[in-house]
Amino acid sequence: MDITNALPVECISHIISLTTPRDACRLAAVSHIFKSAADSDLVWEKLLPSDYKLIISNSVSSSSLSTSLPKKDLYFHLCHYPVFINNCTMSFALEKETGKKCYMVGARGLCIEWGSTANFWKWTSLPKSRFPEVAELVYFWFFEVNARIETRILSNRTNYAAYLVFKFGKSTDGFGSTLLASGVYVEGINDEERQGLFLDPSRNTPQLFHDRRDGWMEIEMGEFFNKNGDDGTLLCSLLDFDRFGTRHGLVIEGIELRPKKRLMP
Amino acid sequence: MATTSTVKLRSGDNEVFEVEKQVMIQSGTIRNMIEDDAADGEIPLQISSRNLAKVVEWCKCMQHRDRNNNNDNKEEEEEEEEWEKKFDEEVSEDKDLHFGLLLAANYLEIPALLHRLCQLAADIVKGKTPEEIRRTFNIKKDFTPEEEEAVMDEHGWAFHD
Repeated sequence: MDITNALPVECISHIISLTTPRDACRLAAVSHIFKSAADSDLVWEKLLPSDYKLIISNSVSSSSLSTSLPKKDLYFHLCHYPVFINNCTMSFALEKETGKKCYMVGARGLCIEWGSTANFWKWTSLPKSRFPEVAELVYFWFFEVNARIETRILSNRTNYAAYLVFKFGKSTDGFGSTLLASGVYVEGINDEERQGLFLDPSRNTPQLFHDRRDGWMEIEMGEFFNKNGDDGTLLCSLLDFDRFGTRHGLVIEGIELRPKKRLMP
Repeated sequence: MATTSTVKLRSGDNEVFEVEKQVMIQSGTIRNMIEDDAADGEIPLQISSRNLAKVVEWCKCMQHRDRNNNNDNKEEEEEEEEWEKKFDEEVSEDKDLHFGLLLAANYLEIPALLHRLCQLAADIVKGKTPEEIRRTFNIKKDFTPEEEEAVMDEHGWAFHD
């Protein structure tokens, strides 16, 4: 029996809505009926995060985004074009494979030690940046950058990693030899675990460091498993390990939190 | 107003099932008939006796579970879990039963059963290629080569692991 002749298309959509975005795209290639079932709003409404409407309505993007586009188009729009929330200090996007939520806290949303002191940090806008402003380290000897994010806005049962998104200016000095400490942990609970890292790629383990191919580099700061979002405030922090030596020329785009597959032990 | 507490369901192959109304009101279709006083005689259904028996069994189990929801009877709870597990296995291994029940649950409007069956179907299709899915469910490919290429191009990333 060819089930597609017997089953109503809504029923096939119901089945597809219980798979994953990747499966839904594959299932569209089974037959014509599967294609119309797999492309339906019924499927993608379920594959979008349950609170997507609220997130979009709080964003600076056109509020018609969630009503004007078919849900599948909206899904992929959110994968490719982040929307901006919290007065443009944070961006929100979806991970294409899973539909899980990704956030980037822009430089203006970060807690940068001495960030408002013009002698040390300069705020500029760059065409390559997704945010209105980035932070450029002018000259400093003490370095601390923190991002705070509420765990309830993250996807549940998801392992996240935090990444510092940055690049070096034309003239850079002091980062090759500076060992920084990064940590990703729930504020007030476990602030012990930190890892040491260098921002200079030549001094790092290659696994931690990536060229994002969007004009920025990123370095992994640590991981966090979000069980059900009730842990509180997640703190992603990067600071001087030794607090000696001066440095300049670092440009910070932000700190990104996105799902990361957990390596099986 | 209806006076009896049971409802008679006649399967497509003429077997009659007499079931408590309290059990069958899980079905939107039958609930409507009961409310419209249209359920006093036998209700003819285009569902085979094998599938109808399974549907009735499922409805009984769920009603029993809901009724005992506030009970802390560990033994019964385990029994129900065991029954559901067996139901899932039986359905997943028997495609005719699975899709017969899907159609029945859809026709009888039993959302919880429909959802369970869709979840089982979703677990079967997850991770499979279009060709594997066509083979599993005996579906004919009705795309022209050009159409197929276009669909696969649209989301090429999904076809590579």
